[in-house]
Amino acid sequence: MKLDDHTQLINIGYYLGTKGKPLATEAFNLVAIERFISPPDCEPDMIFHSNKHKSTIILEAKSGNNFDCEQLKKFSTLTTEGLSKLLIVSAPEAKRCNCSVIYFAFEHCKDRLDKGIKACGVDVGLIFVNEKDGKISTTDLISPAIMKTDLNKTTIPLPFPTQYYPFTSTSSHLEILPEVAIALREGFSKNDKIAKNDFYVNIHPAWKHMNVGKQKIFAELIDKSLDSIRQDGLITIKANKIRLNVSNKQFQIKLQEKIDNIQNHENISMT
Amino acid sequence: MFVEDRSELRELLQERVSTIQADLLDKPKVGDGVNYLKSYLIETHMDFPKLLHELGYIVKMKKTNDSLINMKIRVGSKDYFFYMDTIEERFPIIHTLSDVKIADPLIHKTIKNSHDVDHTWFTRQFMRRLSELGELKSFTVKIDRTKFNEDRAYDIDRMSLRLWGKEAKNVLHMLEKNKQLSNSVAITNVGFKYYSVIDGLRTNEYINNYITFDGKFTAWGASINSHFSLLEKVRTNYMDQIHNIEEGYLIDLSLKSGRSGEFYNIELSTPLENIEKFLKVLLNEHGPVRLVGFYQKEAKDFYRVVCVDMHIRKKIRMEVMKDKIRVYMHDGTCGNTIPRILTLLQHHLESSTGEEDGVAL
Repeated sequence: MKLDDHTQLINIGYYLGTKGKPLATEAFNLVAIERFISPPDCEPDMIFHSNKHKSTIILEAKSGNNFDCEQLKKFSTLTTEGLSKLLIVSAPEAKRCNCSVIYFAFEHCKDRLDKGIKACGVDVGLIFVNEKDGKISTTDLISPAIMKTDLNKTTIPLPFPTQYYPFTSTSSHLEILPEVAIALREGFSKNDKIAKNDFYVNIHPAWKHMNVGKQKIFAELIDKSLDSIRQDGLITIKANKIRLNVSNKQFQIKLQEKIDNIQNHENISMT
Repeated sequence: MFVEDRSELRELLQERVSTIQADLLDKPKVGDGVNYLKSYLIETHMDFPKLLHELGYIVKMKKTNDSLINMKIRVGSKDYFFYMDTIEERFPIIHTLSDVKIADPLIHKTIKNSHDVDHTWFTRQFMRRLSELGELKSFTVKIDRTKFNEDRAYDIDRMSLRLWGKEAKNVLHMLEKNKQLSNSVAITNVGFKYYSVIDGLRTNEYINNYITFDGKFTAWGASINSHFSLLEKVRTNYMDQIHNIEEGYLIDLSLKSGRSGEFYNIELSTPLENIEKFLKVLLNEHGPVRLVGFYQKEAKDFYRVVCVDMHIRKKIRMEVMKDKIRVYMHDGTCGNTIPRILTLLQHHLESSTGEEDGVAL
């Protein structure tokens, strides 16, 4: 069950900002993940800011889907001052800080992305991740603030870290099955009931920080997972309340079997 | 008896430790109802006496003005006295002169039944550093792989070795350097004579101490001052290590502070032969590490795990590979989780687990 490319990229971006990694070394702090910004009504995947470099980086993970020129144009209007007014960035001299947009993608998307950017005519930095050797490369367009860290030489150990931001709205409901399972396993005992709305909050560590639209999409994914568990008779859902039908121990065994089966089925399908 | 303040406690405990003058090389034997001083360094996020109440103990309590809590606890038909030093609220030390058959089960039962209290967990590296604080006279090394070794990937299934003697330091060093044994010698107990040091000079004041990996100190000898000095040294060291973990390894997705933690990496020196088998034991509520959860295969020899640490009922995530385990702890998880997992893996999988990684534990 491989996480989707978008989630992988967000996790790699996060990883670059952790202790000892290039962005953190250059004193760039992560200040937002998938946060809706209005104006100009856009939702960049990650925003890093460095007071040391008086610089903000809008890092957008591009997993190879259609290129959205309108989205890029909106990103390019973002300024540190504007983000500061929205209390996203805390910068003492916001007016004097620059703000760069960087697209972050797997190398196999390079050509499509290059083409889209050229057609759009907006200046944007690029970072590519090579899936095979886990190496990161940059183009000449990259923000001068990041160039100092010499990302060309950065090697991310494979397999990629995946669990900083466990899943996003683009994930399959099967990806979040273990998260839903553990919330059921540990949330309550046999015959206990819990309202669905209370249950959602237990699933994602950043649930409270998501915007309403994202919460809605995410809730649909959780519902799909719950439905899949319900079909096995382990839970009942009535009037928006979930009830566990078996003991915690039985639940643990049955659910792990279910996850293993899905996995095995995937492997068979692939071969 | 209840004490009025720290100096009265000091007098009470001094009288007891100096009563027992057995040498460290003797097996500890005390008769006629005389018990050793026992001090437990624990980690707590809640009012400990209140917790005892909740567990059904009858507790009479008296606080002093200098951060001590006297506790008279009824066990069976008798009362036993415990003295809790709460200067460091999160890491209190509980002293008692009660019988070990009463004190140990009471502490263990309380911790087992609460998600807000935990032992302190001393890894092999931490125990080795402790042993260097004084003249090492005894130690115990153990490994119990019965749960993790079903397919006999390891030559040694179970081992327990206790040694008393002047050569303790050399023998321990030899065991840790021996290729066949080095991965099977988790240090669970050290006994040494600790001398107080003032301005860098060793004084004549000393205490004999047996220290176990779960934060229990059993003391006798000449000076209670040396005992307190040793406890303070260990507590400070342990607190620093937890602080470092919480500073560097708690992942803050709320981004309140604008910082972002990283995963804690645990390297395994012997690659896992069958990751799924390992995970089935690791994620068994009644298994040695007390984690419960689910795993999902992401790629060949790469598994994602979402689980709950049953000691504190907090969710943690892991990535398990043949030669490493990455632990992702989100804000709100307790840093004590890392030394606990490391210590238990050292006792039940391989004793060198995590020797080279992360914060020096």
